[in-house]
This record gives sequence, C-alpha cells and structure tokens, in this order.
Amino acid sequence: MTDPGSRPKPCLGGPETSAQRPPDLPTIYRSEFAYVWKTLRRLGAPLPDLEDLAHDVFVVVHRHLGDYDPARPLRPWLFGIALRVVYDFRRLQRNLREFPRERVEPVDAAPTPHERMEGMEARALLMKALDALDLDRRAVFVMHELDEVPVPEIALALAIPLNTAYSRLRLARADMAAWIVRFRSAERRRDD
Amino acid sequence: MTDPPDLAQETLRELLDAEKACPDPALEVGQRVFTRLSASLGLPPGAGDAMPTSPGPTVAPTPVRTGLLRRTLAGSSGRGWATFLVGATVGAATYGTVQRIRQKPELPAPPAIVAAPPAPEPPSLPPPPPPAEAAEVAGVAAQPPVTAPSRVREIGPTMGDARDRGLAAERKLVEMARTALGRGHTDLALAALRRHTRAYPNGQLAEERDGLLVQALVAKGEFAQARQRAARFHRQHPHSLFWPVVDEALRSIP
Repeated sequence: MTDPGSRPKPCLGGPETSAQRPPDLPTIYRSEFAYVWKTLRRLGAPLPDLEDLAHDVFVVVHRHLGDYDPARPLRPWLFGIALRVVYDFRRLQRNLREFPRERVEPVDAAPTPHERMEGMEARALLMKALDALDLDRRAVFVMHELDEVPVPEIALALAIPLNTAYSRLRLARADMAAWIVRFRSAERRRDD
Repeated sequence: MTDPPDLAQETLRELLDAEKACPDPALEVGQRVFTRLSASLGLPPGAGDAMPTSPGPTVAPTPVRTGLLRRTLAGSSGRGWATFLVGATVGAATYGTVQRIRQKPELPAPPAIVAAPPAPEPPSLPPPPPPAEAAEVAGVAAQPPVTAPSRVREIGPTMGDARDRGLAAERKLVEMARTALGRGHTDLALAALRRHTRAYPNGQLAEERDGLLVQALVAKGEFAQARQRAARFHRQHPHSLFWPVVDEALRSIP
C-alpha cells in the first residue's frame, strides 16, 4: 500500500473519451463490462446476482449518460453507480427476510483453465476480509487499493468530503490488517 | 503469539496483488448480459453495432422494474432466470413491435411502383429472395433480405403478442444451440441454428446465432465453411461484441 497522497499513477480512465461527447453505451459496455463485473464482486455482490446487478448498472449508465462529464475519468463514475446499485440491492435483501443474503462466493463464475489455485485462494481470502468491512469503507478501500484511484478523485466520485475519504481508507486498512492477524492466529490454533 | 503489523501488511499486499491479477469474466457472461441489456433498453438487433439516438420512453423504465421484481420474487438463480426471460421478453416487446411494423408495412403496393413513370412493360414484383437455408447448404453468403422502409406507425396489440412469442421462440432456439454446443452435440447445435436461420433470418438474435454458427462449424470440423461464415459475420457486424468468440473459434482451427 502506498501513501494516498503520493500515488504516482493516475486513476483508470477507461476508454478514451472526447471532450465534447460522452462515449455511447455499447462502447462503454465493451470496454468496461469486466471492470463493472469485478467491482460488483469486490463490493460484495453475491455471485448468483452478479449478472442481474451488472445489467442494472448499465441500465443506470444508459439513463444517466447525459450527466457524465467526459473530462473526468470514466471508471470512478461507473464505480459510484455500481456502489449505489449494491446499496439498493443490500437494502432490498435486508427487507426480504425469506430470502437471506447469500454468502459471497470468492471464485469467478467461469474461471479460466490457466487460473491458478493459489490465486483463487488468495482472492477468496481477500473477499472474506472485505466482507468484514462496512460498505462505505469497503468502497473507498477497493477503489484506492485495487483500482488505484487517488483519494481526491474518490471523494469526488462518491460525493464525500476529502477528509472522510482519507479517514475511511485509514480505517479500512486497519480493519483489513486486524482481520488478517485474527485469521492467521486462528489458522495457527487450528494447526496446533 | 500474534503477527507483527508488517507481516499483516505484507499478506494484505499479496492478497491485493492476487485480486488485481483476477481474470476477466467469461466472454459468454458479457454477451449474455448485453443480450439482456439490449432487450431491456430496446437496442437494435445488431448488438453493439449502434445505439438508438433516442430510446423510447416507454421501454426505458422496464428493466429496473423487472430487475426489482425479479429479485423480489426470485429466491433461486433458476427461478431468477425464468423470471428474467419473461421480463426481457416483455421489455423488448414495445421496441420490437414498433420495429416489426416499420419493417413490414401492410400496404397494398410499394409506392415506388405507384410513383414510377410509365414503363413499356407492366411492372412486376421482384422475385422473392432465396431461402437462407438453400444459400447455407450451397455455402454461398446469402445477403439478408432488404426490408421496406418505415411507413406504418400504428401499433396493433396482436402484433405485439406475436412479437413476444417470436422473441421467446428465438431465444429458445439459440439457447438450445448453445447448450448442445456446450455438450459437444454439434449436429444438434447446427440443426437448431439452421432452424433459427430459416425462421428468423433477420431476427433479434441473428447476431448471436451467427456467432454460434461459426463456433459450431469449427467444432464440427467444417473449417472452410466456418471461415466463410466468420468473414460474413465480420462484414455484417463490424462492431459486434461476439467478435472475440468468433475469432477465438477461428484461432482454434488447426
């Protein structure tokens, strides 16, 4: 992890965008579907619902394409939409007691043959650790640590104060580290 | 005994690196979602080729309603899919109905004939286009029949119903072909695809069908025909989302 203020790499911008005209939906879909898919998974969307939620994200993108400022990077904007879709989904799930929220499956729907078992295990572990985070902190953490978006851009995309973004990132990192310490301790106890 | 903080940070870094290297979702997933999206938003049949300049206001709200309804009612993924099929069909109905009416006007005669200057011989209707199946058997690239421009604007309820049934039937054939192909039954897959070609030469799922056809031909070992089909596919759908699948199938030809 790096210091949020000194990250040299700018945030991912997605496809090249014209200053005058935003890209159209198929263009965004072609270039960013995988990103949206991964983002939803990283935000804790259950695997059986990923397709539904990805669909809903692009429906929202289609509706609000006119609000998108092409001068800004695309991915943080998409992330904000994905986060709201996950928020809504969780709220709905909470209200549906007869359909309890399923646990996040840490593997992809269709892993490639080249995918290594170690990588899958590591990703599964990371998803478990992320599950322990509050969604607000999780969003900032995922955006910064995985998407490499600078914190000021995160604050802008999520419409939160800059200091709040920094605070959430710091707390998320601490939570993640604590979770890993607990996990390793539990593993050691099981081995002994 | 507990780990020092540095070790936890290092472990976290390794986990993050593993996640960053996470492979993209399977192409089929992206295609499936886009097919749904096209149906929900009423995008043109050429998925990804072009976006409508102004989507119809009556079809835009459909996906969210069906999405919420689907998640409300569906407790399992199987039920969710079944509900989706109904939702997608209904969502595409409005746009599809308009398109169908635009493509098949019920006019007694084409205006070109009416407006044409007097000719030495009485005008005659052009011969019907050859069936797509015949062209397919002959290995000739059949051009899609040209449809008449839009003239009729009224929407009839019976046409909407027919459109619903048509999309569901199309989807059934394409899914049948996809399943058969996935299980290695290439003959069954090709049969389903040819039935689709006969019944819906310019159907909403024509692009998906053509992509699957290339895959099925490669799987059956009909490499020359697969290449022909792929070339036609690239001509007809230059910006298709199914390109990677088609190209991958071609690359697998020994």
